[in-house]
Parts: sequence; C-alpha cells; structure tokens
Amino acid sequence: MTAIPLGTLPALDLESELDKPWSTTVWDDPINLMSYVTYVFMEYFKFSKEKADYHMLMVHTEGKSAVSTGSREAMEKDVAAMHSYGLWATLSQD
Amino acid sequence: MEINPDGEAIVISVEPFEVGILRDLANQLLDITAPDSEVVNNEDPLAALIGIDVLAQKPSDPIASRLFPDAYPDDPEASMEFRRFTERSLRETNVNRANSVLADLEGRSQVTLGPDQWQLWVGFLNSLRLALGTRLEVDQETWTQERSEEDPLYQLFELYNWLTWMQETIISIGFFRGE
Repeated sequence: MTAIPLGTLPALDLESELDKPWSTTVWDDPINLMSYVTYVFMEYFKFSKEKADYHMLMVHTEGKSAVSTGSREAMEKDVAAMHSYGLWATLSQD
Repeated sequence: MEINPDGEAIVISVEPFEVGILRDLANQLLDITAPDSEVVNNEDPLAALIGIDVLAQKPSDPIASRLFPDAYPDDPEASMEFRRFTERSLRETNVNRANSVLADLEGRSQVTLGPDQWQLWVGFLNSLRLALGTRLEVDQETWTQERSEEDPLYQLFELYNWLTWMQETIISIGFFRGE
C-alpha cells in the first residue's frame, strides 16, 4: 500500500474557484401548462408533489426558479433534460 | 375524441378526421425537428457517430429557437458548444416521439397507452403546443381573448386549445390520478 504524500498536493485555491457551484434555472413561458411543469419536476428531479408545485409556482409568479445545483457537467445534463421536455432552462455559475 | 383511464392504461378514442389532423401536425413537427439536411451531408462521420454536430448553428426561426434554446443566457460561445453536443439528440428525441405517435395512430380508432407511451404522447403534444403557440405568439392575453369564427386565427386557436385539452387530460389521468 502506498501513502499519498500530502505535503506535495497543490494548493486548492484555484480548485475552489473552479468548483463554485452552478445552477439550473427554469424560466416562465406562456405555453407550458402548470400541471406539465409539476409533472416534469416530479418525474425528472424526483421532487415531491409539494416541492414540484413550489418550484412550478416560483416559475409562474416570479418568472424563474433555480431547480438544481452542482457541477457544470451535472447542470448541463439537467438543462439538456429540461430542453427535451420542452421547458426553457439555462445554467449559470452562482 | 375521448380520453379515459383503463386500469394503469389510458384509452384514447379518435375520429378519422382527428387522426388526420394529428398526422399532419406530426409531419410538420418532423419537418421542423429532423436534423438539418445540410448539416447531416457535410458532417464529420466520427463526430456524427458520437452525436456531435460540428456545424450546429443557432436557429433563426422562432419555433426552432424555442424548441432548441440557448443553454447559457450570457455566453453565446458556451451556448454554441452546448448545442454541438446536445442539439442532435434533442432533435432525435422529438423525431422519435412524433414517429411513435404516428405508429400508435396507424389504422386505429382506439389507442391504448401504457405508462411509457403516454409520456411520449405528452412530450409530443408539448412540442406541438410550443411550435403552434410560438407561431400564434400565445400569451395570457391572446389565449383568453374571445374570438369570432370570422377571425383568421380562430381555427388555429381552436386547434391549440384542443391540443392543450389533450395534454392536460393525459397528464391528469396518467400522472395525477389519485392526487
């Protein structure tokens, strides 16, 4: 077994900058049905009915809702999935 | 058209003229969503194999822009990169859903949809409503506006409302039954 020489690991400052979380935002549009948006959030994100309704209403009343956070790759996957359901979604770094 | 639950399934009874309308709409959606022929003919075969569109472009048509939106609100370059890696598969998802619905309707007056199938129908109907709704510039005001039958947009709004009823009914039976 080999011990990792901890002293030689690079400083993590740059890493932490790169690791700042990303988030997926779903935006309001006049076409998607409220029931459909709730269904998508429950089906894809496995949200409870309450949580899905909460985010759906945020989208409806506030114009947008952040529905997931994580790595850039994970958010790109979520945004692509939202697009496949026809929801208007974008990702950005917080 | 009638849409009813049957155990775990959903049964849709369709009139021949309704099948005709849905088939026309599905074919129009296929025209919009099928991968761009110019892109397909000029693409790198290896990139195509792994689903990358090297020549992907931001759509200029409002319907395609709505169906295939930018992923990065303030970063056109990152949005293009995202498009190269995802738009092909997004287009294929739409094509597969439309073809699946066309196959379900083939020569039938009654369609029975299991859980996987009704989800394809709901996604298909959503894309149709996005396309038609974008063309009609639907918003809260135009949607609820009373229209006379002489209004040139009357028929299209009737069609939009019919698709809305269909999508809402399938979701409420398929997903929210018992809620």
